Amino acid sequence: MVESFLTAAAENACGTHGPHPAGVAADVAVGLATRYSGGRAVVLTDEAIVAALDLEARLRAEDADLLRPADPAWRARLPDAGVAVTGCVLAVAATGSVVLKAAPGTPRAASLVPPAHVCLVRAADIVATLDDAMARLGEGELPSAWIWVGGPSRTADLEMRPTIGVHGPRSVDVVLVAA
Amino acid sequence: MAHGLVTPGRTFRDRAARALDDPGLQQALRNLDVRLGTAAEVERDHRALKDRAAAIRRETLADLDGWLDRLEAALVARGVTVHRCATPAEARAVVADVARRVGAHVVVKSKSMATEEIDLAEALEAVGFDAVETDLGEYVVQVAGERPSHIITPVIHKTLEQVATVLSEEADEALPVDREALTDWVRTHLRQRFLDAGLGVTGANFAVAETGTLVIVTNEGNGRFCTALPRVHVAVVPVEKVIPRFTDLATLLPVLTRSATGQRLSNYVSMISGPRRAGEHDGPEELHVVLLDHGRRRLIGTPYEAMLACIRCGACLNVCPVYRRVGGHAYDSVYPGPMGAVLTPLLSAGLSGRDLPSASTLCGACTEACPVEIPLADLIARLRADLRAPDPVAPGSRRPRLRRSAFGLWARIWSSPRGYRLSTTMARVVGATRGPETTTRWRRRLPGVGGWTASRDLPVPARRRFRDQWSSRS
Amino acid sequence: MPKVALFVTCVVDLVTPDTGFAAARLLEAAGCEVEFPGGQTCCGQPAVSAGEPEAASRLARHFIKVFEPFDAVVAPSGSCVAMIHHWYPQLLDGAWRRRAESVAERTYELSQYLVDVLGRTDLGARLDSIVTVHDACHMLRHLGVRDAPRALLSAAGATVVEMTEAETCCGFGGTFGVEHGVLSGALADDKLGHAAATGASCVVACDQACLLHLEGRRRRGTEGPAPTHLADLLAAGLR
Repeated sequence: MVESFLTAAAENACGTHGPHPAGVAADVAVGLATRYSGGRAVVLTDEAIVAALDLEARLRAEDADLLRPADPAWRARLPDAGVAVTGCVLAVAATGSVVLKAAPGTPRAASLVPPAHVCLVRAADIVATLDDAMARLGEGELPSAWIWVGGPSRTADLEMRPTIGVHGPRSVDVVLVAA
Repeated sequence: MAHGLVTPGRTFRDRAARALDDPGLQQALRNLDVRLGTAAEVERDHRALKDRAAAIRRETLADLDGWLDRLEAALVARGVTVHRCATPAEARAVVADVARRVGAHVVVKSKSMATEEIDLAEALEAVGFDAVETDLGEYVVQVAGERPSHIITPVIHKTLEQVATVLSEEADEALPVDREALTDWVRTHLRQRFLDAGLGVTGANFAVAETGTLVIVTNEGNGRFCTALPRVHVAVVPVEKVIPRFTDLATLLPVLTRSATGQRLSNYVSMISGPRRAGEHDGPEELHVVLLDHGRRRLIGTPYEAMLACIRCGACLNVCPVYRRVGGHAYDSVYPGPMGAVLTPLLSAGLSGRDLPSASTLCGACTEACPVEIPLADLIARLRADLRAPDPVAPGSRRPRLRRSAFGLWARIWSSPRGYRLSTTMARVVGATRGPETTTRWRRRLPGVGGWTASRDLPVPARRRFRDQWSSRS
Repeated sequence: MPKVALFVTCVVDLVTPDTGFAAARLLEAAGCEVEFPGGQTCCGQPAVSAGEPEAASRLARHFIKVFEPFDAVVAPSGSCVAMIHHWYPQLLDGAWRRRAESVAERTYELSQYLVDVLGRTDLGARLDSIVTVHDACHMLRHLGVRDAPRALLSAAGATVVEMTEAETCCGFGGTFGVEHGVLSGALADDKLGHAAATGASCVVACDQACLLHLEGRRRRGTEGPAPTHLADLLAAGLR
């Protein structure tokens, strides 16, 4: 399932990385974030995996200019960020999508406004099919939004040919964290 | 803003003729050829999925009012304000009212055929709101002052050169004829509107009754912007968008996206269950749903009920030989192509789109392509009959059962072998005097002849009918 | 020896009677005894196309009366047979509908009958031309017949070359063809163009409606292979 997820994500024009053990995955994510940020702010959201990989400390060690949702200037600074690093709730192998949850600490716009998105995916969170995903997502209380992301934003409006980077991020990288 | 057509004209025939003579349009329409594969693939590879999708839609329509009540209750329980609107005017008034209370002047709109159907953008602009379309194709169309020509790819009728011309004029600089460059310009140009907007207006692809969840799919991300940043979100949702269960999305979403663009799933799916909650940093504080009827619920219990199963995938447009040849503007309707030929006269109770059912060869490619099994070609044929009644939705009592039309007479005569023989002998006498060339003026006035000879030579009737030769053979 | 009632269709009766004879010869070559019920007139398609279901129903009832005594009804027209299968049950109620469904079960398009019912592809016809096939819409979509005409042509030795968009409508469409004559002609041009690109000497179909429309356009100046009915082509190749 890991392989088929990575294949499908790659078909969606995502950059794919891993599966890596936690430490390596963290380094990869930090490397991507630093590269994409181009000196601008790095958005970092509050999914559990972010804390588990100690990403805040690692990014600060690279002198990253961090922007977290709790920051009082969150909304004002968001439009100038260069990259967002987030986790996700689950990933769907059949479509190569990741699903994010709108909740305190994981705002909708975090993975939308910056031009690059790096998404950490735990291998254990990959489900096979849309049926599996909907069963999981429908359990318990629904959040105010489930946000599905396939890859970089795109359109086929111009002569039916796909063009990347319309309103959402121009690039999406998924970093798989093993076990 | 006027909704101009690239191919204006009073009738479908006029507009189609203009379309045929428009080389830019004809070149642009060839881009549709790439979509032909999609419908066949969905049919071939995803049969089970299609069957499930059709079943879910039938289940919904079997109790549409019940599902709508459940949807409303679930939405209200989530803190959503629900407005049931019978007409476009009511819907416009509701949205304008919300916009006025919001007080912001920038409104960002995600692509929604329902908002086109009710002419919302114009209504908002009339009350001083800057309502900008954010879907790339819709934005180009808005800037050009035109109506979208396809329900999925609104600017399919323009070549890249033509798009560049439109955007260059808006940009006040010469933009390159290059997809990346043009896309980039739109991205940059619209970004600030997203950030400033006080109101986001969208449609919804589906509305889940069980959970009160709105589902919005896009590839661009504009739907996400419209529902993340503005303080207020209004979703205009036609009543047939309701579906029973959250898990039904696992069937309906891929069927929609595969039929629409050949994608396993669209790039973005937002499943929205209420406004923002305590502690969240974005999402709308107020969420309004306008449940739009506009003649739909009246179709339940009639042969046209099946039309409400439509999930707006656009597959029927992509395979229609007429649509592919003349484009969407020839239909002069928010909904073009086969689904538009049925929906337009029905929703307007015969007031508009009356000549659209005739703009079809009844080839059945649409019926074949429809992932939810709407018998589109049959409904188009049925409308040809029912539009002769004052109310096409309920023609029964009002359409004369035995018309003294030319066809009624013809059927009587040809229901008897002697009548058939006599009438065809007479017709051959009339037609016997010349060859297959363009016919004389008086003959061209006979019904049908003029239309045929506009582009073809007439076939020559046989000197002896088959039946006469057969009897002399034995 | 299977007995077949031949429904020639009004277009064949009045405009292309040779196609009727060709169909009869092919059926006889397949070992059938062919009868021609003289009371037959028209399946009623034009009335459905024109939005006149009462007129269509009247003609449907006449058809049923003429043909229901027979075990098999065969017509050299996919669209007429499709009319009987697809529309008659929708036009009629009660007993008439049951009678319609019963007749429909025994009514076949010519190539469908020869190949799918009789199991014959080689009738003794010999062709050595290059041909391409236009799949007439109603035969394709309502009857599901696509392979039978090709099987008959190949068995006769013809080289069948597929055109792009073989399944796309020729543009005739009944009343559409006269109400939207210019657009109908444009679609005919597209079809003739695709057919011409195959290098075939003729474009074969099982429906004279499509063929007369394409031939009419060809005579107006559009180049393309000769629109030819399957029955005519095969019968000409019979020794």
